Amino acid sequence: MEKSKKKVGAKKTTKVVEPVAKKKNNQLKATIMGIAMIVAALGLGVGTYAYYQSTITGTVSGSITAWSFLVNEKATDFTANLGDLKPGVSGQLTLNLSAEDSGLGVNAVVSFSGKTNWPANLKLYSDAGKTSEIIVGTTTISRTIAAGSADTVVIYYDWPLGTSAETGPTANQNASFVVTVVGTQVQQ
Amino acid sequence: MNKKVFLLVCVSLFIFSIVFTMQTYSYFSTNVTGTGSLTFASWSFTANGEDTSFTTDLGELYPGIDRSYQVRLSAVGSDVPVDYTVTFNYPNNIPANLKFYKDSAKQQEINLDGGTVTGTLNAGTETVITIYYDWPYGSSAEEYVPGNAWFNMTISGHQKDPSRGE
Repeated sequence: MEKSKKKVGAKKTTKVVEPVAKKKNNQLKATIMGIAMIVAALGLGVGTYAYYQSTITGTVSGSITAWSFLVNEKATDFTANLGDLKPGVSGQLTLNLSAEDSGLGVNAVVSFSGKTNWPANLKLYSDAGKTSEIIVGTTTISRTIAAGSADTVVIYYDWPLGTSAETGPTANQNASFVVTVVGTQVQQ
Repeated sequence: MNKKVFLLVCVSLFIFSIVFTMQTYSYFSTNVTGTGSLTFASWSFTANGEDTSFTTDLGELYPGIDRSYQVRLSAVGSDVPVDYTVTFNYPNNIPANLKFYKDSAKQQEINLDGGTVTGTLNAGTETVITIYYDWPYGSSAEEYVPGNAWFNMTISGHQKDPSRGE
């Protein structure tokens, strides 16, 4: 009776031990496989990067030089009113040419066009002595303005009184001409 | 029980034979110790003396400018030759008429958005790459674009594949 009890006990012990051994065995296999995979991955990595390499980034920059050209403080259009025009009137129109905010010099050319309703004896001159008459459509006045500086062009007008009788308009009417000023960068 | 005795005898004999064999040859053997050593070839690649980044300032840019700038590529200190690739990219605010060229005759224009310049440096040598730039004057009036202009040069130095030879 005792003998049979021992045998039964032994059988029970065997049944309990076998799954633990299997589990350990599986863990060992898993560990080995893991290590093998890591080694394989490292080997593959070394193979991929097996050369020397450097990368350097250079930034190339420059500053676009400032450009500015204004006439009577305007960059596009300006108007100048000469007031009432009649025989005996004279005066001057000043054009302020500015390259004060420019990093480059400016070649300025002033030209005249579009004379409308302009009295025949009302003359325009480029000098105070009124020896250089401005012929609208033909005459140009040039200036070279250094970077960061300004210059002026003065236009003199004169409608002499008393040279001859002239028929004026019965009512006020406008007379005008167009002044075009082109500022071009001076070639460096 | 007999099996255990037999196994014990076998193991004893095995150990004995090993010890005996070693002793037998111990009088005739010579131990030579060799030290195997190796040296890794050194690697060095710089651009304008820098190994990560550098800046080049072209100064003022305006119509009529016609100049060049240089980039010094160096493999001095490297034991292996270097294949280099200079890639131009990320142009920003570059005026349309400001062009960059590989040659002084301005025949080979560089595309600043992906263009490349390539070459090979022998080990321990250096070279200077000259980039020419030109913004022609007088072709036409141009809309003024204020501010800074810039682009990047990504310079990659790659060890030359020895199998490609010199």
